[in-house]
Amino acid sequence: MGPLETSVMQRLWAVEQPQTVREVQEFIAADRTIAYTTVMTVLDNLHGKGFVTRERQGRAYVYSPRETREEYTASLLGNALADGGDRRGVLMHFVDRLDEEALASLRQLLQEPGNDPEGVP
Amino acid sequence: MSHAAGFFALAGAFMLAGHFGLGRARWTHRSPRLAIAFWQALAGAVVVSLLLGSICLALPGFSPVGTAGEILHACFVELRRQYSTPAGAAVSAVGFGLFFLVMWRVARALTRHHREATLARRQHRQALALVESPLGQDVVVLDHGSAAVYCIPDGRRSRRGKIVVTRGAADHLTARQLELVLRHERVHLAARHDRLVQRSLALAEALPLLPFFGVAHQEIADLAEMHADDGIETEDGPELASALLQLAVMTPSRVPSGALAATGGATLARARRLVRPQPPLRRMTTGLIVAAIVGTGAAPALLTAYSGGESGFTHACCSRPALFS
Repeated sequence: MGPLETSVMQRLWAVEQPQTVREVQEFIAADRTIAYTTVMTVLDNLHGKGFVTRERQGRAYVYSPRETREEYTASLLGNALADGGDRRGVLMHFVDRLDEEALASLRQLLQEPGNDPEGVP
Repeated sequence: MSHAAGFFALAGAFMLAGHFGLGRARWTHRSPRLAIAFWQALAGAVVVSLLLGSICLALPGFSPVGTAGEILHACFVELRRQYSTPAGAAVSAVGFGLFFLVMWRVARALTRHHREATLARRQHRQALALVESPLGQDVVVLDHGSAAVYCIPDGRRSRRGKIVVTRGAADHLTARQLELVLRHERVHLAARHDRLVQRSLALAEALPLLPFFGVAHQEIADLAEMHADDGIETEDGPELASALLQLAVMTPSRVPSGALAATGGATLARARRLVRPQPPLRRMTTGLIVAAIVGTGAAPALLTAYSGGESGFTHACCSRPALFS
């Protein structure tokens, strides 16, 4: 995902209505010079990758994001957490989710550090 | 044949020593770094011994100690001798088969894991770029209510990477706790724990019939977490342990409940040594452990030199003429 694709997605997420290529281009052009055809190519790529959906409106397409920003973030995080964690060596997580029993033991350990049955003296 | 037996016995002894010795030793939590090195030495020595044992089975007089010319000549002579009897041919074929099977499976698993991890990380970094917002030089925040902190190692030679903190995690930790958690993740990146874990997992998958490698993988993964915890000052231990609990409560479920127990025990062991730090190993003990690690790594080479000295190629080629006729 290049910086240009990121800017385009930011625009689509920031507004309610579906956007035409022209609208997106004018938004990005506020920051930097960018050609209409470049934005068109980027939107077409994003459509190909499944990030945006499009509908024909008159002679042009209007684009909207396939998922909201929140949905996208949730599925991204879900993927990150589902990879098997540290044990596959892809991402290294700080901590795994624990079952109730382990959580209870952990709580007890933190509250009364001296009272741990398995502790080494 | 007896040399092959020697190498296989060595591999077996190392596997037992790891499984029942190192796996149950108490000092490992006091020096996770040394323990990781020990597991790696054991795993490496087992693989090398298995390969050398297979070669000895295929070429009984073979010894890696010698010049290339000698080795080629010996291979030729040995092969002709081995294949002159049906039993010899069978043993030799088994040896070659074993050698290439182990080589192929290990090499394939290592490259596959490396490739898959590289690809998965690249995709994740790209997907992240759309929604991340920078928090520090190597830290980004992900706008999501649940709690998670993890790092994405950069790649092959880099000791850097990106640390991802969710908004939920940042909100529920104190500034001090967050700083400690980030330090934990930075140790992961600097020590390339991802690579350690990846390699041990590849070995465990390549040689599933040898439970030693599964144990080694589990231990290395757990010890890597403890080593990362050692990146903070001892007096900050209880604070990091609180962060551990805070995040464990809020981390969304991602593993089936059956797998939880295993990680639960490891997390508890981590918390225990954070809350009640144990004294570091004495210098004498450390020295003994280092010697054992070096000895383990050197053992297959020593056995090779020993068997090479005792029955070199001269012996195999010239002293048993009856076999050639």
